[in-house]
Amino acid sequence: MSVIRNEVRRATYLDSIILMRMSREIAALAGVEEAGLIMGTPANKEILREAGILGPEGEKAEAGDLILALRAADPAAAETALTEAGHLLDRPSTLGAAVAADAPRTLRAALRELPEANLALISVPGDFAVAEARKALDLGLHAMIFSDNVPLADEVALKREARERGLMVMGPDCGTAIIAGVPLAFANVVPRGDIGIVGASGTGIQEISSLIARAGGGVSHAIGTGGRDLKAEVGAITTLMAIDALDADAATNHVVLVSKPPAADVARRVLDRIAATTKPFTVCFIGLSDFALPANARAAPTLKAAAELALGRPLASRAAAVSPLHVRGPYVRGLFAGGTLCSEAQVVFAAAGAAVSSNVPVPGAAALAGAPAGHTMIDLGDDEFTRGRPHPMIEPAVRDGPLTAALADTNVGVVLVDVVLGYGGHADPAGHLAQVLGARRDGVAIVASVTGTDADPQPRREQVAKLEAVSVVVADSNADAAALALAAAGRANTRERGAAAR
Amino acid sequence: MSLAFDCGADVDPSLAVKRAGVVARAVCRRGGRGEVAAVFERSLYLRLGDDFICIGDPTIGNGPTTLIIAARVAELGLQRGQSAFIGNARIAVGDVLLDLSNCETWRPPPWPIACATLPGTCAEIAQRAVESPADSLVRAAFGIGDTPLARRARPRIAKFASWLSPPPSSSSATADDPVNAALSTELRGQCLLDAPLSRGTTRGEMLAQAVRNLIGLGYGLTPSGDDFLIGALAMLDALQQTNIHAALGRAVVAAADRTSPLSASFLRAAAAGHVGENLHRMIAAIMTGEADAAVAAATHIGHTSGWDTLAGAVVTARSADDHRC
Repeated sequence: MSVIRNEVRRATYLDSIILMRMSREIAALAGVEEAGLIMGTPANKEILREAGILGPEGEKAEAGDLILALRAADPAAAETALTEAGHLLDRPSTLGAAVAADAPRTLRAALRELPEANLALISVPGDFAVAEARKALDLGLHAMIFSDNVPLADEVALKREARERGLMVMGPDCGTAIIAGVPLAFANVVPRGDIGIVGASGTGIQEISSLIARAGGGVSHAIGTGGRDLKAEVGAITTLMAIDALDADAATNHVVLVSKPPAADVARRVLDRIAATTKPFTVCFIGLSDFALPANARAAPTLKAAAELALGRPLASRAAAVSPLHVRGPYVRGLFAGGTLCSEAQVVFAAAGAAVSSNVPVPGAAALAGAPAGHTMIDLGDDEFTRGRPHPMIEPAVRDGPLTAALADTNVGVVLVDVVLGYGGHADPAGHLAQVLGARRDGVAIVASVTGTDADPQPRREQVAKLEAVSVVVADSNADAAALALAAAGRANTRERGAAAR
Repeated sequence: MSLAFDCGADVDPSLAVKRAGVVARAVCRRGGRGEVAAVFERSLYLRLGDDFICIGDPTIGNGPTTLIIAARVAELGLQRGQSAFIGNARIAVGDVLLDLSNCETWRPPPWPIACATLPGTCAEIAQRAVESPADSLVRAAFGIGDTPLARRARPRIAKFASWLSPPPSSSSATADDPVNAALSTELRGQCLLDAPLSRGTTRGEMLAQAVRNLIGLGYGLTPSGDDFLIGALAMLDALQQTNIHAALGRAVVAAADRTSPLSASFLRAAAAGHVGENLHRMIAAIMTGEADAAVAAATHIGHTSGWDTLAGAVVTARSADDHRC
């Protein structure tokens, strides 16, 4: 027989996003039939009362109290759920204590605790990142600047100062690196190997390193440079230093360079430097295909192709084995957490001769103007979506609104999504996506790629299973997912033309 | 009570407060003893009696009750329940000392003039409600979704809109305007009996009831109904509907004990005409006909708070716009 349990936390304020996430987690606990986590205002107590889950304790709650109310299948399930829910509620409130107890408050104090450290990872608001990076350089540390919103002039000055000291500044806006096998910021758990990566693109590094790992290869180092390093103003200072470092690294036998298309004179400088090395290079200037390369380098149009060239063999692809999709509309709507994954999908579409638009267009794609129409690839990590709120790799709910809109758009037959795993990301992005999608589909096919490995904190195998359980088609790579989505939409187009002809 | 500070050798150098909102500055000027009410990743709240001050890094945006500092709050090591002392242009909490002596006072820019396309902009935003989270109030306001909250909120929003609206003409309830279409005959009757801006007993009671129905309603740190009312207050201020703003402000302050003390402090600030820069940006976008920018701004405020505030602003703009004709 069902039982009602309430717990009241006095004068407890939790961030709204955390409250909503906890509500979902509590409602999903075993044996819980209904649950609410809500401020104890009179109006909210009415809602709980009407839902039949307000008990005597909840009735006594005041407006500033947080009420956890649930109905469970039996008393044992209720107690277990309350205990679990209590752990969830305690988690954020212990954050401050953990930080206070364990974390040094200054770079200098951190260096006292770890004197052999040679790199500082800086993640502070952009306004203060430059000052922190200078402190790191003054202490003889390389700097990886995760922060964005750093003025370009400051980036140039910092990188020049660092170069004079023989230090490297990775970033600003450097989201991913793997140094000597240690994943930093948003990065995946991949085995050590002989392939080095230099990347001005975080999710580009993640996709390439994960594809290499899943194919049995390994990564020596992956050095992030920050997205603007190959702009004319910066002149690829960090990229060139990273190439120097990997050229001198005995454990690295092949180097992959991945970036958005660079400024022409910067590209020339980088390619001249590559020509001076003896190691083979793979160059992926995503969206740029027509450029001259030195004899020791080969061009990769996509991240998948870059991984294949680095490995020296093609990657297995299940895309051809996916059963035909039945889609209602002729267009693909791509909703991406990873910026370079969004670019790669555009490259796949453009290479197939399909018109595509994006809020962050690559050469050959159109700039998105107004509401999405036609094949559209949206980078949800772009500033317009992330200003003042978490990146979609941290909070997958950022995609919920655009996803709902895509499902409601009758012109959309296929929704293309990416799920990016690894350190720094959400604990269960596929679980969230599966919950939002549910079993409801209405003639829209969902095609996904899952960037990551089984060794990640969110094992890829489990994440793929969660998506496949709600009929999401999971491709082996982002490029495969884009090709599969385009093919499925093409079938819808063919059907539409056939119907029109009849 | 002594407000003197003993800065011993173990205390870190003080952190400069860069900018202070007008409400936060007034609270600090008064001084007193408070405590840490909540600690988040980018901000924390100090409570002094009925007042709350938000202390955060620049990414949270300026606001009337906000102090902006040059540090990440999560790394200050502060915890809920710690005592705070405010006085002499300084705040001491834990071993952190905040210095307000050189901070700027932040005020939002003036509201832009509403453009002639305001009704069209509101209609466009209503169409975009489908993009909001499933548990947002904007869905209830514009007839989308059927959650328990939406079912409860829809007639309450209709009642609020009817208070704002002038006597309805026979054509005022249209298929694309679910709020007006949802108004009951009884409510319309009340509207007919009262002049639009009159402050007769019936309309005063109607307002008090509408506010009491919405305040404290819904999910999140600030209940959705409170966000709705803050959006309504901000829009009335932007449209220079001074009398209606004042009436709604009084009703909101009178009912503030029906919501959480933190949310009540935001409502009191909005009733006094103070809003933060993120909300200001959203309302200004509506006023200048930029529906996309308004929706984008909404998505950057909390989980559903931005959308809920947008609902209050749009419902109010639709109704108040009729007054201006």
